[in-house]
Amino acid sequence: MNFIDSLINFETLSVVGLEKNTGKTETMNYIISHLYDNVKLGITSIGVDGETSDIVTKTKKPEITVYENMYFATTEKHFKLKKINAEIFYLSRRETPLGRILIAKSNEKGRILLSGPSTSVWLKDIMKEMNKIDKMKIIVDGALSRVSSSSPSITESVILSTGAALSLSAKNIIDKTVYKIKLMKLEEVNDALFDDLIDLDDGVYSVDEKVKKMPFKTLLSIKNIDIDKYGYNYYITGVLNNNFVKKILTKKHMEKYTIIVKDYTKIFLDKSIFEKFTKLGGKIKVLQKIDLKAVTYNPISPEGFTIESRPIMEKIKKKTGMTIIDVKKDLIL
Amino acid sequence: MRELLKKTNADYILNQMIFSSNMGKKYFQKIKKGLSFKEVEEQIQLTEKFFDLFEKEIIISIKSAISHINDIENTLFHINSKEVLDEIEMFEIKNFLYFSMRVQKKLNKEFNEIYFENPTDIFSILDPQNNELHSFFIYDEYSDKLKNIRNQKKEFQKNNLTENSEYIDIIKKEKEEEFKIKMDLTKKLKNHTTTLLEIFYKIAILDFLIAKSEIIEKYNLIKPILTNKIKLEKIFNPKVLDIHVSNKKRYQKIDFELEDKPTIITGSNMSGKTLSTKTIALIAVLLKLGFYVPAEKAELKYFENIYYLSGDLGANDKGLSSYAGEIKYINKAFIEAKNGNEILIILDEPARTTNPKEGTAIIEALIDELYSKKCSLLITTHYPNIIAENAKKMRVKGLMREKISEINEKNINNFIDYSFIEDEKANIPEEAITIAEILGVDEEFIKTARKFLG
Repeated sequence: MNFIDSLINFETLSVVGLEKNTGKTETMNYIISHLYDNVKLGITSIGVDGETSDIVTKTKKPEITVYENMYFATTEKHFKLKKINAEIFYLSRRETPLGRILIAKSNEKGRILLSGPSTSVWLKDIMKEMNKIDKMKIIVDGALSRVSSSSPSITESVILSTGAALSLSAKNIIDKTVYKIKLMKLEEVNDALFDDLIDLDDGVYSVDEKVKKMPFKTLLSIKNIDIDKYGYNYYITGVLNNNFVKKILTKKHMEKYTIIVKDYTKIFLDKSIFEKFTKLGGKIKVLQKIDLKAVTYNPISPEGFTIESRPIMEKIKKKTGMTIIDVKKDLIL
Repeated sequence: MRELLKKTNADYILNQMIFSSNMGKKYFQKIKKGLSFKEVEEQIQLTEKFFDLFEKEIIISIKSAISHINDIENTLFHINSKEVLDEIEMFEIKNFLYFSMRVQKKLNKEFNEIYFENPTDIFSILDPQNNELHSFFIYDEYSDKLKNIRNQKKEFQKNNLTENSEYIDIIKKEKEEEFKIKMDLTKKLKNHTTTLLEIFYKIAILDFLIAKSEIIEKYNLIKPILTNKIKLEKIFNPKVLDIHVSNKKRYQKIDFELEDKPTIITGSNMSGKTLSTKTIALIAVLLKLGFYVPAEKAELKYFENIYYLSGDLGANDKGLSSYAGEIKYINKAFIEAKNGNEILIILDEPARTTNPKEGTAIIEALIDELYSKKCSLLITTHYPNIIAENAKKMRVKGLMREKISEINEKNINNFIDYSFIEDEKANIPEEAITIAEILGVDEEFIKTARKFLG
């Protein structure tokens, strides 16, 4: 099965950057250009300005190429700047700072500015509206990978874009990327446990035999609490931070401990702490796993440095088994 | 008015109205400020007509059509002042017409307040391909020139010559031609602004009427008959009724009549004076909005203004002491009544925070000054010794004393008769201590209290 065939198998896909300027736009354009011929495509973006980095680094706001009969949802302000012909199908009632959200179908190939709803709930609504117009596969120009817009509850699939913007050191780029991939590939809990946990109110739970709510809301207040009396298996609806894992790391027999979070976007652990915990046998699982389709690599940093892609891509591939693409060279490993 | 809606629990039912569009909601916002007599009449007629002429089965499809319509009042208002509308505005108008036409198909011609003719002629301006869709763009069909330019553009795209300077010229030409077309379309649409606005307002009314009818049916509200008196049968407060129903408690609907002369209502604690007067105020307020009312029969008078001093008046927002806030509010009502306005004044235990002697004097003064005026005055009080010769005196029947042995803290609600009876002596039933006993207050305490009572 070639790469495009494996990629095509999604309903909603977000493209998220590991850092700013890791080539999200190139990745979007790359995927669209490979898919538009085979499937009905729609694209949109999360956030008023999906590319705040462009304001920071003063580079040009990137444009996405759309093709004939492709749908796109963008804001009024950006729609008005388009140079292509497009048929309007939908106009939202709510407004972003850049105006309402429009859904339109392009009548020809050309470039557009993509922006979108400012919240993930609204993004879901817009995707629903797009599918009411026509059944389509939707690609979302996502935010940074930590943000919940790239959570599997919004789009079930993801492409991670990484690149030279991350660091000047190849080792750093590899380490950061591999760590993020590891988080995205964390094991899912079994179906029975999923059913028990999915609808729970916000809080921290002990899930050893029965699901029991622990008497604190967040992990910020964990310092003075002896967690041993609550068992070894925990479910946290919010974010998982260093303190909680550090606390467990003071105990013995790490292999007894399992921490469950909603999805990878809830994990805010330093790489070293994650590695230490998992190497000692501790487990971190997720309720919902995102389907990581591929990793893209952008060899050029915004400052103009280029880091040779092949060796880096090979190392990442070796450590994670992921398909990795240099979208500039169209090199797939 | 907003304060009144809150104090009388009118908000409780009005906030449950579900509009399919912002248009209906906006229409209701205007009504919520209170209506003139003529407008009240119109609203009641309109609602009646809606129930007569509207089949329930079509409501769902109409609601769905309306829900697709955006509030384009601003766009419509500005058509005339604009030289050219943009594509988005044209889409809004086309989308509006498309879904209006779906609504139109279902309308009964006899319902002339909301019926409109099918705007196909306007729609066709924005549908040159005649494909009857709600979507829009500047179609090739609008001009041969545009079509030619676009064909040229396609050739460049096909041959990957989009960076060519000629291509940029073509885009420029395309934009110029599109602008001409948009100007022409705008001119054509301008001829129809009156019709567009008319349809817009009719749909707003329709959206409002649907939301209103749903609340009326949910609570079995009744059409009020406009007369020059207040005569109510079996009134109820929807909020309290809902609470009682969910707690499986009994709810007694009561009758009430307000004559020209001031009325004083007395009654012991827990006798429902506050709830009953609140409900009367609620009914008066709902009438002021042209709404149906929570009663089984309602003859009502229209009042220019309504004053309601609520029994559960908490700390007031102006930072005055509760007595100061209260007396200033009463004064406002008093001055308006003295000026001869037809207003309704409902005061639930006025001056209750002051001493009974002065409190009684204040109530007597109000009645004495206002009995000959056009206003209607209803006062509840705890104070004994009110003479008020010019007032009709009523009291709540209260505790069913004959069944006193069966009553306890849990069932007390079932042993209070909340209905009003005339009582010329304005007796205050001395039941506070009995009720305290039922509620399980310390025996010694009760005994001593009775000793002091003599």
